[in-house]
Amino acid sequence: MSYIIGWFVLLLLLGLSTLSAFLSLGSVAPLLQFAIAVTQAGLVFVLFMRLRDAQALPRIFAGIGFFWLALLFVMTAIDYATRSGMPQP
Amino acid sequence: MRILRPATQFATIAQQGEVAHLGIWVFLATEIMFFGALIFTYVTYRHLHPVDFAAAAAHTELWCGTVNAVLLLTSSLTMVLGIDACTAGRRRIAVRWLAATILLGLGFLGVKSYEYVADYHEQVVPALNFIFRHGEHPPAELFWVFYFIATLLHAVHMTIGLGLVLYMTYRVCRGDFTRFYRAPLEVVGLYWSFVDTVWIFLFPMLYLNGRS
Repeated sequence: MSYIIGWFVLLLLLGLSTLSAFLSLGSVAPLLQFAIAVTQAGLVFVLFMRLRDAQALPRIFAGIGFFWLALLFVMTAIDYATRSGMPQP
Repeated sequence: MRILRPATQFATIAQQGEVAHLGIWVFLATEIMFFGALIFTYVTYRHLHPVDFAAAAAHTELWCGTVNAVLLLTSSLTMVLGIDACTAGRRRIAVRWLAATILLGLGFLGVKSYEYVADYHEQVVPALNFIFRHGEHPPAELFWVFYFIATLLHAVHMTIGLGLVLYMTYRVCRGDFTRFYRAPLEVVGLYWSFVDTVWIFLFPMLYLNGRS
């Protein structure tokens, strides 16, 4: 039953994300859509990929992928945010 | 019913299942970094060329992307329901759910193929027939390069996933899995839902930009 509810929430979030593209939200729209995508992915990971019931080791391994990805994102973002007068690639 | 024996390197069948789960998560961690790097490269270039990327993204077929997102989210549900039915020993119901998963996956690839043909007719395929529309600059073509690399890589993952689900359906029919051992089916389920997750991120990136 929780799967059906989860699926319904996923579709609801998809609708919300699509709707947000047509509202004049400016630079907030991509952030909102990304936040919705993260929520959806979290729901799929916890519910459909059963991280909720998983043992500690698979959970850690699932987290490690995102941890390294976060490092990659943050380090690159710091570079772009702090360098001035960077030539266009 | 077949008699299950663990492979020689494992003490018990349960241990074999645990190792299989850990193995797929290691693989998925590499996939997270693989698609993550691609997505972040896109974000960087979109940040550098916001106007061109928005103008180009407005030409993607929004309904195709949305329908495909619905198909994939639903296929993740049918997959997990299939695994649950198999766990409960209801083999025929499990096969039905897995068949539904395959149909939804085929539906996704069908819509995607239609979309590629539409893209071709719109002349937005880089290196094949790309033309700049009025007021478009080179970064617009870069958007389409990202679009095709990301969606083609995703479609390759989908095709592999379809093959695996098909094979698992055959194994469920054959009675390979029991309440105590169904690790291969669960591993394929994890892979399938992960590929669904990739589309969750590709959808807003490629389809929702430049609409308002």
